[in-house]
Amino acid sequence: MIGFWLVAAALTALALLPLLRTLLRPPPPLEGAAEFARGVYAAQVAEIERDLKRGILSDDQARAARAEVGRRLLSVADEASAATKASGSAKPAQRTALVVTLLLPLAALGVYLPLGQPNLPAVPFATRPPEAPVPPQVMEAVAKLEAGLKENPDDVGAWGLLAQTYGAMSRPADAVNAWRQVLRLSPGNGSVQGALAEALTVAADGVVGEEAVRLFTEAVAADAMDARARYYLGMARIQAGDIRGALDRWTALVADSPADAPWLPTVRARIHDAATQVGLDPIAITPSPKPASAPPPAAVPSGGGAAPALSPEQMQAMAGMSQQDQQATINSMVDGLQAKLKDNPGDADGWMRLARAREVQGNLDAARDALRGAVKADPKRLAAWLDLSRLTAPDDAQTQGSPEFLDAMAKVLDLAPDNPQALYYLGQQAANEGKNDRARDLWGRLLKQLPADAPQRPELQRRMDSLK
Amino acid sequence: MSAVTRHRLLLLLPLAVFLILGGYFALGLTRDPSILPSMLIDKPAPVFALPGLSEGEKGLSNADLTGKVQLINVFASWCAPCRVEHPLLMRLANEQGVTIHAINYKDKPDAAKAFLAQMGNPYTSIGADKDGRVAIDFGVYGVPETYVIDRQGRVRYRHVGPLMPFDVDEKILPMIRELSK
Repeated sequence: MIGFWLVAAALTALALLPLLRTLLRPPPPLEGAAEFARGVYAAQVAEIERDLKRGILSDDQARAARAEVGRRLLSVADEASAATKASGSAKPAQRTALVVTLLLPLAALGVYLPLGQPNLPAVPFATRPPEAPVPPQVMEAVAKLEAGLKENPDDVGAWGLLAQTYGAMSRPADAVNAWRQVLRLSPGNGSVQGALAEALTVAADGVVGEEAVRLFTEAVAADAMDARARYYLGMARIQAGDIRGALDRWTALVADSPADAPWLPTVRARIHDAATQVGLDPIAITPSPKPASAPPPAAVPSGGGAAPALSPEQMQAMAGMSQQDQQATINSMVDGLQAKLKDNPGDADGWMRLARAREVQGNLDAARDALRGAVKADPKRLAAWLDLSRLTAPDDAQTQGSPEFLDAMAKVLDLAPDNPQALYYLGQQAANEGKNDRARDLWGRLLKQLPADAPQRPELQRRMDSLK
Repeated sequence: MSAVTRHRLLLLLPLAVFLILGGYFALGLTRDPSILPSMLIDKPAPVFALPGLSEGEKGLSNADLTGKVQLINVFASWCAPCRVEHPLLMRLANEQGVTIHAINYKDKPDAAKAFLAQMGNPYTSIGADKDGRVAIDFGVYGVPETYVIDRQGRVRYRHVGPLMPFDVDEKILPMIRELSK
């Protein structure tokens, strides 16, 4: 520490030195200007003599000029002597030097003492946002789980809980280890394999490595409908540079998924990106998903439930039956409903119930028949037309669809002028028939509804442009 | 030349310095900074012999580099872009039958082994370049880097940074095909 102060003092002295040298040096004599003026006037006198010799000036003129130069010379000499007198009193600036010698080290100390501290807080340009704090209860629970597992390392439930918690806490490496333990205790469990593989992928910053691929493949082998595993296997193909391979996997996943599957938008967006990369038409290659597993609540007509309603007694009776018996009971009830409707074909609610029941049974032809009955009974029922169009929709968004489908779509458009599906398919029909204006109008209305980042947008825009 | 004109010329000096510097900068702007020329292109790979990741394991030396067209990939487990390109290397090795050698750059053998266990091992042989000496001979700027070596063991192409699908499809694979003829 003392060494530092010595060095600092020496440096301060060094900085003072040139200042003091300048301040303490006696000021230079101010004779320069007078000397110069005298030279000029001597030259002028010489010139006058020269001109006189050559006869340019007369004697009188020369005398007058000489006198003028002499007068000026005298006045310059006066000024010079006055200046010398004044500068004689100018002593070296001793007082300034003293002040500077004292003030400079003091100022340096004044700046250094508050700033030159190792424990000053940092002054960053921008701070990193603090990580979301983990609630203390969670930390406690994790500590408890970890301690419990040390004593009983075969507690598969605790490992699973710990793995999920680590995942939520963004500790992917720990999550991987915990999932490995879960898999060790429940070997061959497809969903655990999928979870471990996903944790591995997260730990590798989204790269699906070989081990993850193997685990996902095993998960799919265990459950062909493991959407997570199938999605990531497509990712793996993309990362390996095989875009078509990825598209094959993802389109197959879409085709196997119910229309209301939560992962569909993600998969569709991926398909769109990948397809545009290799110059394929995303709409053309994306298949339609399977019908929604549960009808969205908005589509349920206000008048009736989803299936023939059961009384509480019937429900209780059903609960006690075997699965086969339950099925048989349901079938007989549905058949009874159909028979009733034959006698009373104006019951649109009844037809809708029948259609839903038939669809749940997997008998799509019968479901379509029931919907035809429903729209005949009540041609203004939007839900019926929507269901009918859904069940008669072409497999592929590119094909035009049957006349019945297009008819249903036209009815839907009459009742709901903004229905996107109707706008799309009717626009396609118009385009196929060469009615370009109509197609542009319909697709234009559809475009207006699509969010700005909808994956279908560019494709639709392209097709609209090609109509011109 | 009088003292005054010399003085005047001195005043022009800053302008002259500015013009010269400006000229250099303008020239620099027209160049692509991502092009990193290699001194080794079309020259034999440097002479080297690296040990394997663990003792007794076969390493990599320049004697391994002749006979067929192959790749050398410089990687490290601590290198994030290496993870990104790794699935591509796996495809090249397993599906396209390309021989890939590796230089494991300034890495801990255990970490490298864990990396390969998770991400897969596309390499025919791996040399552990712990102090980065061989990488200096190759002129490695940073990991990952990939070199195409022809049958005579000469460096034919060098790719700096992670391989992307189009690098592989448009550059590496056609080049390997061409050189293998």
